[in-house]
Amino acid sequence: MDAPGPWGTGPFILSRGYSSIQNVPAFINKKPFEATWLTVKEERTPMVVLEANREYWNKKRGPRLRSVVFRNDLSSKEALHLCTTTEGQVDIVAQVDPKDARKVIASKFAKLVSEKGNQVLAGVFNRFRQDVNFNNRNLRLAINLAVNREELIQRGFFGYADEVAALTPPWAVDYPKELAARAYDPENARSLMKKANYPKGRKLKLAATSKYAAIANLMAKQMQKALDIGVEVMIIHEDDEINWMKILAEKKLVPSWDILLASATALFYEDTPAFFHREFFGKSGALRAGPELPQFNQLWQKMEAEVDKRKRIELAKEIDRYVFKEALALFLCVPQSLYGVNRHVEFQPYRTTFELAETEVTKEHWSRRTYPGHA
Amino acid sequence: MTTRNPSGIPQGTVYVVDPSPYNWLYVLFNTMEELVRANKAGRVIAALATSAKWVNKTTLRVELRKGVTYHNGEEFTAHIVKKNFIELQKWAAPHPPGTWLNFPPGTKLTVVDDDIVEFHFPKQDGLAIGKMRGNHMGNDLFYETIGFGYRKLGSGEGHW
Repeated sequence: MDAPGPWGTGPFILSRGYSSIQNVPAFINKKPFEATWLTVKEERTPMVVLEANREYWNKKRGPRLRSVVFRNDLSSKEALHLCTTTEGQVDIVAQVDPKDARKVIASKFAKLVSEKGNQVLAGVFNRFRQDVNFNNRNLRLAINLAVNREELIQRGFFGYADEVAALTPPWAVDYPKELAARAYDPENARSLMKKANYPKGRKLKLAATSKYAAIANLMAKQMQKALDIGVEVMIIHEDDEINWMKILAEKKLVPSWDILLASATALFYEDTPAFFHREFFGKSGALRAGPELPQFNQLWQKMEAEVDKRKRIELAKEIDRYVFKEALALFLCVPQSLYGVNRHVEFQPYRTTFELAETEVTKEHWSRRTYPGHA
Repeated sequence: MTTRNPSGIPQGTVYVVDPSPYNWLYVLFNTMEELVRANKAGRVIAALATSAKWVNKTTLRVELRKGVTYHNGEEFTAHIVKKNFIELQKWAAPHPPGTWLNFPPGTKLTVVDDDIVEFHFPKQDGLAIGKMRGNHMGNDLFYETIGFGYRKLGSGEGHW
């Protein structure tokens, strides 16, 4: 949204400032036309003020706050410091880094709120590569067995992530219950690697954005040990991220990495393959790194066209089973959403969005307290 | 649901720092609504619609919530839903998450009465109800002044 105004019917009115983005397109297919957008710049005013819509139709929902002020004048570090050491400056900090969770827990002023996340993290296999064949299931499976997800979650995410068998997490409506994340199995991993004829002495190239640098380094160590091969970690410079993602999305050039750590985002936890599986493997998928997968396309088309919800849930489960069986990606986890929240704020998190209609503050909150000499 | 504030009167202010690259979307979701939204668990629930039912495999009948007004007092009706649909369909790739959220070309919307619309799809689209989360219901004033990127970019492509 590019300017404040009475544009909507929502629980809050955008009364001051705005939060917007600048995008560039990535063209995936000509016919049928398929494209996605990559954000090159965020445009936010220092303060974005939302005022309660007192005429909101859903009184049961809210709004319960008189106003919400998004502060864009602080770094995450400054925000967390203010939230955990004082009151009246920052009440909610979103996207707390798992390594800072302890700081919030130890604070007298704030509490840590965690919620299931809406981004699935996985390794994309570069099936376009000529010198190594990631279309070979044995190779993909070997790499899946060479990662210790439990350790990754404990050491990489400080426990604040949830294991996932493939891409659909257990709390989604279309999760196939019988699937469980593959266990760390170095012996089988090595044997499958041998079967896949992985070139001797060739280093595996694992790429990641700086956000996932620590995770990539930890995974590299695990894979080196389990597979007895060299693993080179390539951290993408922040300024180059858009170019890397555009190359991947447009699929005109062959990327130089073997595996890229990437995430996809869900707006809902139903029709989950629309958000995750399609993005990683589908015809319109910005993260698909390889030729189209006819079997996947077939399953996807069935699901996409099914208007009976019960049947569509079953078809969505089939998709997750298929990608799991084929080990089509290096399946990892869903990082949790962590928030630092002032102790007097009754924050009500959502799994797939950040909405504040139900959130409220207690009488003890700085904005509601009465002080001697003040009305 | 907490009951700390039983009066129902909005009270207090919170300062929020949200470094998420989706902050623009969250500001939108807090202020503008769609026919459906996500509940806390991430399920699709009705918002400005009260129901959405398939009349046949390609026709979706949507009943709209009555008595909803915009922040400027404009009334929310089937006509504004049609306007938003027309504005959305003008563009080849209006959704930042990608064209997969588009209603297929050839989709039509008819106004049945003030509170009911019907979507007519050229082929079966099981994801149609979820896709409605990407059709944000702005009022007339919104499109007359800023629109989704209209004033800033001269285009509604890739901009919510």
